[in-house]
Amino acid sequence: MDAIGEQSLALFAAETVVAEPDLSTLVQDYSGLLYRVALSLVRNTAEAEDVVQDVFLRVLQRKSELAHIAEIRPWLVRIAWNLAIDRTRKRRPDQMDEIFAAGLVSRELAADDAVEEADRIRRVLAGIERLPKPERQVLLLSAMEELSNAEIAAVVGKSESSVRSMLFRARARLRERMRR
Amino acid sequence: MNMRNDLRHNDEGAIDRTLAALTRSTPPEGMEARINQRLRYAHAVAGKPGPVRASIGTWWFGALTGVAVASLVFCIAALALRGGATHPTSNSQPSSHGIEAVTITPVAVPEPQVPCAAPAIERKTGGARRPLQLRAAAAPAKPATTADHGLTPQERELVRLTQVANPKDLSTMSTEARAALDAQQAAAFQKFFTPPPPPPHDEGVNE
Repeated sequence: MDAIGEQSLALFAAETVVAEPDLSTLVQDYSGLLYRVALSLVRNTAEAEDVVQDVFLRVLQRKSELAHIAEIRPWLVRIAWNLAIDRTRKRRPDQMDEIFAAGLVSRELAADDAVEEADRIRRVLAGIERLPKPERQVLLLSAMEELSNAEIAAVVGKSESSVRSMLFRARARLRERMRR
Repeated sequence: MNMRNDLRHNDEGAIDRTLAALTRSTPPEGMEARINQRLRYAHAVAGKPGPVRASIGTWWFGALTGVAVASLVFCIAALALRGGATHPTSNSQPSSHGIEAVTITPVAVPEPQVPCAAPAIERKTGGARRPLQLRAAAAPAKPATTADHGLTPQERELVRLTQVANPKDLSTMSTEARAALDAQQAAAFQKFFTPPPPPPHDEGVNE
């Protein structure tokens, strides 16, 4: 998947200067969200944590620009997305799908049901992987409850209505592929 | 129909459950602390120059110092050469800088009278700066004995021996010394020969 430019998000509100946020506060507020974004792509907990760490290291390098960023959350999500995409180029995420799917199964299920559910989740993950790149991105970002459609639109660089239609098409396509 | 609806509901539910599971996933314990620690370390490293940066700085300082010293030495040498070059040409004219030039007159050195001096060897003579001359070079050469003054060949040979003054040749003039020298040479010559074997006893041969 193509990496999204971070510069546009960083500078689109250059004239809106706000107080520079503390880096430890950013870590406290956004590390969970960034971890989930990274995990949805790399599907490995250790690599997802590395991605989050790299995000904040990059923020540290551009600390002087933080005061000029109006919407910090989409900007951070975009950085995390790009870094996670870089990692998936080195390793195919579906290699981890079996373990990852087993980790996503609810622990309240019985053993037989858990195996069946893990297989179903693995098929869903494989179907997501085969989606067109923009639709896959919108679908995975929509899973993050913290992100509104407007913020997803800011991350992917599309309009809000475009994001909604892409989300609808992604779900329909995924359902279609699950039936096969 | 009901079975198809159940399957569709099942697939739809699987998509929602998968996305919900992604939402529910929590970061590993201590991730924030590890990130903060890593950030503090990166901040500290970025604040002070690293070893490579410090060595590069030292290298530049050394290079600049070297260039400055070399330039200074070059300027001093150029000034010295320029000053030295102006002295011989300004013997008769005063210096333009107001410093009175020292007049150097070449010292006349008597040419050695060497009748058999090789004409191919040219010595640089004259000029204000005369190289150091050895005392032996300035000394008059011994005149060669070209005239025979009515001497016999044996007498001329004796004169030549005394002029050359070779000790070995002089020793041949004494009869005793000549005999001793001959005996010494004969003994040295005999050293090369092994002594002859003793004669065999042939007493019983005739018997």
